[in-house]
Amino acid sequence: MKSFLPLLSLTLVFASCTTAYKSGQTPDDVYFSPERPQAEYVSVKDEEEDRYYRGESNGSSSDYYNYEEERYLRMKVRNRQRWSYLDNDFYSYNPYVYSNPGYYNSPWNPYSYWNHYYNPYGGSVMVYNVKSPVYNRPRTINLRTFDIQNNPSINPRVYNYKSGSTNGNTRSNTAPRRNVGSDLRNIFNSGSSNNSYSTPSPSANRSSTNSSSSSGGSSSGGSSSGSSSAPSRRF
Amino acid sequence: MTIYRAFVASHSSTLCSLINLDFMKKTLLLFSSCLLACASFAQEPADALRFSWAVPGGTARQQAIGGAMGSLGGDISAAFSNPAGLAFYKTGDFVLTPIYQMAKSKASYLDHSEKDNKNKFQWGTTGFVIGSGNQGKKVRNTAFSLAFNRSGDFNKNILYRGINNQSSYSQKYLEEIGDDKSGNSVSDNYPFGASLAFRTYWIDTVAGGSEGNFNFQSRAQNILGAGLIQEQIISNSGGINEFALGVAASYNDKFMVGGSLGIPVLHYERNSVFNEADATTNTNNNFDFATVEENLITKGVGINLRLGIIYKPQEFWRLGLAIHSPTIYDLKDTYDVSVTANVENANSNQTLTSRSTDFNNEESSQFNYMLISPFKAIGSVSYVLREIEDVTKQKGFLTADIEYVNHKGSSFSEQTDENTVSDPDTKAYLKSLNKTIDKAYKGALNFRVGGELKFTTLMVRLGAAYYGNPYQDINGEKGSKLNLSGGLGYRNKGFFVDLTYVHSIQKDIHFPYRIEEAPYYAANLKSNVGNALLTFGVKF
Repeated sequence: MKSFLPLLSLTLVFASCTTAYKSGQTPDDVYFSPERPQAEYVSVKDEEEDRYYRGESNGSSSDYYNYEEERYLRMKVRNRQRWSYLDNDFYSYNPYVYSNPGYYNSPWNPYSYWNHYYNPYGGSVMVYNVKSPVYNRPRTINLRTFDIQNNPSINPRVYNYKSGSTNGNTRSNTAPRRNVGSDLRNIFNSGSSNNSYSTPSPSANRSSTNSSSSSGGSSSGGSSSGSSSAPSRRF
Repeated sequence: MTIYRAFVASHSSTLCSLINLDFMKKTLLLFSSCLLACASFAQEPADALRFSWAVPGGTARQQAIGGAMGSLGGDISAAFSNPAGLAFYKTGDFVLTPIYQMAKSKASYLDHSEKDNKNKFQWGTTGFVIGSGNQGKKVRNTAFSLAFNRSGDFNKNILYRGINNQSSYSQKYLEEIGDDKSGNSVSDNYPFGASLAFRTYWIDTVAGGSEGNFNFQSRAQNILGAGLIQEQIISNSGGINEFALGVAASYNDKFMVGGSLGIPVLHYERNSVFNEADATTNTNNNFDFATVEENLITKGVGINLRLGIIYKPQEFWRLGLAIHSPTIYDLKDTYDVSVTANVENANSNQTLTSRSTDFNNEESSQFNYMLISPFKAIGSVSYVLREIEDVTKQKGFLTADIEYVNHKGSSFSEQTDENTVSDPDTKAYLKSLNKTIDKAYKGALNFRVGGELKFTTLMVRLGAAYYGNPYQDINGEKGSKLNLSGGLGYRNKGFFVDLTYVHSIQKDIHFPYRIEEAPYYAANLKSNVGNALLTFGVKF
């Protein structure tokens, strides 16, 4: 929204400046696009100003130089001392052709001189931003699943739950919920009147009977409660 | 960009020589061993469809008439549809279009429904057209435009839940490891899938095995009889912001030809959380819950070309034909995955988390690639009453487009240059992926129709657009998008204002996972998206 206001302001300024179509009909290009109206007074004024720059305008190729000389004389009349150096080389006044090899090779010019003060890649000291190697492979899936028709043989159990509602602006997806299992069971229990689930207790308090069938992969980290980072398993 | 890449590549090679070679070797060995592994977070056919099935935006006027701009012309949106339409301009336009989007989505999964919503402010078509007339000459006028457009919008939230007693998400990990019998290998060599599930005990070894001779089981699959509550939460954001340079010319005011060069800038972000939990309160069945969280950022720039012609066979009638070249995208994915699980007594009631970044020195993984989106062809007809300078006699128009998009034409390829060695396994996977895209999708027809009634300075518009099903029916996949639109316009004193409301009804499917060995289900998604557009323009 912030970017809208400057652009709208710009458009309104632009609209207020435009002189065409302020009066009369505003053309609709979908139906018919007329030639632009010729604002005669504008054209004449432009020509008057442009003739100084365009040698061909009045058939004289010296208009441009006349204009430059006129400006130079006016400046010199105003302040002779200040502008007198132009007498030596009139054309050097043009800032766009100004050339001083010493300036461009100056080590103090950060824009042109490729010196080691400003060039982080030059000079005798090399600073490396050492980055870890990055896994550079496509994300992959089992593409064979697109070759096989998935035909559930048994219908899933159907529950009569109320629809939930979540506002996407307030939900945070950045971290898993603390008790995902009990949260989900609560959601389904709260919407159901005919399911057989009892109110779940927190995972940490649930009774435990060890019936693991793991072959005994060892884990070197983690605590007995709460969430912890899973280490590599070694056998 | 090329210079930048060459610079980075040359310095990367220097860096590599300085980094511990032993570590590099181990890292490469680790990754090469899982090249053909099936990770949970996937470069998949849906990635291609996301960018080819996008509904392009336009000015409020163009959107009010269903986006049908294939033959009408005289609107800056023509640069993104049929650039020949720019040739109608003998004057100039400057426009800007803010948009406010209100999206509501509803998802049904295993007979359970959820709702979600997302509101957002966006920028729509903004830019200028300059036309110039050459009365008396055969080339009557030429026009030039520079414009920005929202060519695709990915903002969407998805939320669905259901109880599944047929399959568990974790079974994809068992399929991923296939015949791998080594516990150490499963723990280390599948950094985006099975390794994460194994380290958190979501999948585990079966008792009685030994290293190199293990069988594996899913803790969640073991309790399918009791039911698994499954929940998918996805937050999508981003879009395709396109800049286009258009030129067009009119020959005798009968035949218009135009072209535009588009530079789409793509940004897509997705945060996806899949939860699976024991549906019962039984604490002795060795599974409480598991969560998979995935983060993906896709960024890149593309290039495309649009060419079009419009022919006026007689007064009132306009016929248009446009071809949009495939867009060639240079993209980079940055992604990471984490798995959190609690398997109750099977692992001392610990809740463990394993992350893909653990395998990559805490860095997110990256993949640079090229994506070519499919070409489009548009045929169009318009009836304009009347094509006359006096605006009091301009009464309205009707226009219709038919568009063909070959969705199966999308393809991925490796991004290589003189400093990057092509990886044969990556190449092989992308080749298979392209074949799967060919099987999963099909060509689709899109229809757009709209009209306007004009009362000198005031205009009333209606329109509709239908974007057809891009899916081949493999497992009940289908989708469509229907846009219904209406708007008002005012044009006087050298400026114009158009206000439009577009109501989009989108039907789609989403699979939380796909597996070979057991049934899996699709969630049916239905979104109702409202877009309010305001175009403010100045004539010059």
